[in-house]
Amino acid sequence: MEMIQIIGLGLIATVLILVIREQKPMFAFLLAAFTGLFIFLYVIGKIEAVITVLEDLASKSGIPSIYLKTVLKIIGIAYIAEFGAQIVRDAGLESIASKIEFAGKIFILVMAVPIINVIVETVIGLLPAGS
Amino acid sequence: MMTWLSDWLRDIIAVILLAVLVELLLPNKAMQRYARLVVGLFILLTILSPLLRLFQEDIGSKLDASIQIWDERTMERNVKMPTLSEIERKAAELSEQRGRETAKLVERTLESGMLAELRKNAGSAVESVDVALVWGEKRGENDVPDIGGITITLRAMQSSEKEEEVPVAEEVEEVQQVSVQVSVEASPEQKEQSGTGYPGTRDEYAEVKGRAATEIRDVIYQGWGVHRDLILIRQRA
Repeated sequence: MEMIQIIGLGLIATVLILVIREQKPMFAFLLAAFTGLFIFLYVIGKIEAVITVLEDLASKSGIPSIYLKTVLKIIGIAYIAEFGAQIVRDAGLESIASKIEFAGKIFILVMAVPIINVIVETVIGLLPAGS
Repeated sequence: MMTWLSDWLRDIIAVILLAVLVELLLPNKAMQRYARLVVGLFILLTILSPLLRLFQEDIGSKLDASIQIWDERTMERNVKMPTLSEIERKAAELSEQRGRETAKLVERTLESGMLAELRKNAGSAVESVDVALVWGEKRGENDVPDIGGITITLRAMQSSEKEEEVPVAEEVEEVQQVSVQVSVEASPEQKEQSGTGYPGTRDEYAEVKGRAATEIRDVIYQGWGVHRDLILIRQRA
C-alpha cells in the first residue's frame, strides 16, 4: 500500500511540475525538491529494519563493532550525497551535483584511512626488523 | 584447532555477508567502487587476522585506537563557536560572582574596622561585628551597596564585670546581650538571612539596651554614618 501512495505522490508531483514549469520554473524546482525530500524522509525510516539485521548479524558472528560502524557511516554518506546531488541536478546544475558526489566519495575514502593505516603498520611489523 | 578454524571461517563469512548487504544498500554505481574498497579492506583484515595474531598483539584494539584518534581529530575541526548570547551569559555570571566576592570583601573590611574602632572607643567587650550589605532594587554596574544591618555581639559578662557594669547601666540589670540590628530597609531575603543565620538569637543572645548600647551606636554612627536603628547589639548569655 505504501508503495502505491508513494507512486501516487510522485505522479501528482510530476503532473503539477509539468503544468507549472512553463510559467514558473522556480516553483517547479521547489516542488520537485520538496517531493524528493518527502519521499526520502518517508523511506529512510524503513531502512532501520535492514540496519537492525546488519547489527544482529554483526553481534552474532562477532564482527568487531568498528567494522559495522564504519560500514553504516559509508552507507549514510552515500545516501545523503546521492540525494543532495539529485536535488541539485533537478535544478539543472550538473556541475555542482557532481561536486557533491565527489565530496561524498572523498569522505568514504577517508573512512578507509584508519584501516589502511593498521594494515600497513602490521605488514611493516611483519618484516624482519633489520631490513 | 577445529574451534579456532570454525571461528575464523565464521568471521569471514559474516564480513562477506555484510559486504553483500552494503552493496545492496548503496544508492548508485558511482559510490559502489569506493565502498567496495573499504569493505574489501575489512575482508582482507579478517582473512589476515590469524596470521597477524601470530606476530602481533590484538589488531582489533589497534584499529579501535586508530579510528578513535581519527574521530577526535575530526571533532576538533568542528569546534563550535560560542554564540553571542552564550558569551553574554557567561559574562553576566562572572560579573555576578565578582560582585559577590567584592561584597564579601567589603563586609569583612567593614567588620574589622568597626571592631577595632569599638574596642578602642567604646571599651566594651565586643566579640564580633557582623555586617550585612543590601543592594538597591536595580543592581547596575556602579551600584554601591548600603549597609543593611550590623549585628554586634558582646562577650558574655563575667560576674565581676557585671557588678561593675550594673551601676553604670542602670536600666540594664539582667540583660546581658547587646545586639543592634538595623533592618529598616532590609529586604525579606535579608531578614530571612539574619533569621536563619542566628538560629539561637532568642535563647543564646539577649538584646542590650541602655548606655552601653547607645555608646556603641554613637561610635558606629560617627564612624560610618549608619543609622542607629540598623544596629543590633546583643550579648551572649
